[in-house]
Amino acid sequence: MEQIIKKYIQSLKKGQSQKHASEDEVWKLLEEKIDSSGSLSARKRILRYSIITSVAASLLICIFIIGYMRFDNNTESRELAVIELSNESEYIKVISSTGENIELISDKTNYTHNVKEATSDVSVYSENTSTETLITPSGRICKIVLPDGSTIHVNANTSVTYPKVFAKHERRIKVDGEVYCEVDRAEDIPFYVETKGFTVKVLGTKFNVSAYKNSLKSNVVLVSGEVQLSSKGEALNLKPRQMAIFDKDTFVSLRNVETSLYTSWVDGYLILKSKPLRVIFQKIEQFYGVAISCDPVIEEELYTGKLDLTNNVDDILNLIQFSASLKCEKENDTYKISKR
Amino acid sequence: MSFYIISRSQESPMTDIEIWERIENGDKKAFELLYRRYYSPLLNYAISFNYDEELVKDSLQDLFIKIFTNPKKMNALPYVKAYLYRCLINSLKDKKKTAKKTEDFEDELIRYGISDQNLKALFKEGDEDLKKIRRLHSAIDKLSDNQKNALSIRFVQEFTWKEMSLILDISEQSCMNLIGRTIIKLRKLL
Repeated sequence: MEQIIKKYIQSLKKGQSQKHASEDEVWKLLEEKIDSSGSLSARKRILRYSIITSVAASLLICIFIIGYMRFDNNTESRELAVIELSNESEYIKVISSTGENIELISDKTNYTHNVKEATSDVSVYSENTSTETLITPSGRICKIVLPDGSTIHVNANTSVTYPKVFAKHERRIKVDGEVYCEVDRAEDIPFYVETKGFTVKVLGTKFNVSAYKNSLKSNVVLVSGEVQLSSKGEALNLKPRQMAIFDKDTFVSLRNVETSLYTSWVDGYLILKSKPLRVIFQKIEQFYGVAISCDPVIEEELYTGKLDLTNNVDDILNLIQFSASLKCEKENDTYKISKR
Repeated sequence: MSFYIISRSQESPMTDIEIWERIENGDKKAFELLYRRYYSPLLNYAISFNYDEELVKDSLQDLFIKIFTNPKKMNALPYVKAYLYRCLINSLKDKKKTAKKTEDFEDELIRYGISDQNLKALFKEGDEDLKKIRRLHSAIDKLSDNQKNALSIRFVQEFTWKEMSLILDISEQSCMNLIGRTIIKLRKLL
């Protein structure tokens, strides 16, 4: 009898948890009601955005005019400046701080940018002021080799600014995005990585910095050696295999991690180990510069896998939808992921 | 291309409490998550007690709107699931009362649980089992609404005594007594 009761209860449970036919329909009704009740604040938001965009637009016009005046007697530079603003997304760009030197690097996987050794007649003045910025587009990574032999792997949608000639007492770069650095040991010349929220001080080591301007959370993962992190006047030493997480410029937590999961992008792979779909799609969005919206019902499901980043985003999402039996549809510029 | 999926575990979905806290911060995605988690179970639960489907749908809509617009005024934490069941039961009782005044509810018979067809599908193997389950089924049918509800809350929804006492608005001891008495009665009916 006990067996039968168990079975009976099981079937009742199953019946109660079954998705009811009206679920989606009632959700649509609810959504409408919610959105209409929130319409007042939405309207305010639109107004605010339109003010921001109009301010931004007028600023942009000013920049154009100034740029025009500045390069008026130099037609060549003016053309190059226009190329920069047209947002050519296929190429890796290197821009000099003086603005007159824009280099477009053709589409090639595993591109290595060698920063040339300074020639001996460079004056002290230019040592301090002249920098270069390397910008990677969506879906591409590259490598910078500095004159001292240090290498910086640059992930997609990242900009790295470095001096054309490093000062004698320090090496300093600025990063918006994600980089993996292998810094040659030189204790008398510390290496600094500056991000929007914090600075990493290095003597000689391997580490990963992920600090995108547009995402709130940033992190530093140390593979070997030792680094010192500082933000808002506070300092923190990181040990190998530790990860420090920042919320904007505030340090939030320290964790022991498997470092290869955070540096696999250097070899062109994304290795995922029990990660919720939410996080996986965030990484894909960041790398390929696309928008993905995922059904919240499946957002927290955990997946493990390895993605080859040399593929384009459609191939990657195709594979995910088939291996995980999900449905992926492209609507306007957004990929919508839902349960199949 | 070398993507391979290894697991589809769901070991760490958000808890109800986390979801509720996000809703309090106006998170619409969390709200949808709560809706998807409980809309169908709540509806199925109410329908199994023979409440009119349209009536239940209306009640649920009102309930979820209230949750989204004013979650902080609701006393859901930390027993979110129990709270939702309680809200639904109360609003259905209220609606039934007002409805009764205008028109008689002709069919007060409770058709509890699963249909005979489903029972057959469940116990094909031996006629013996099917006979037994039919006996159990009809015995449960003879219980009062209150007793059926108690059984469902305790054994199908698997609420704790604490949660059960919140849903029924009686003490934990009373819940235990209620279940005890119901089981004794069920034994006699069998």
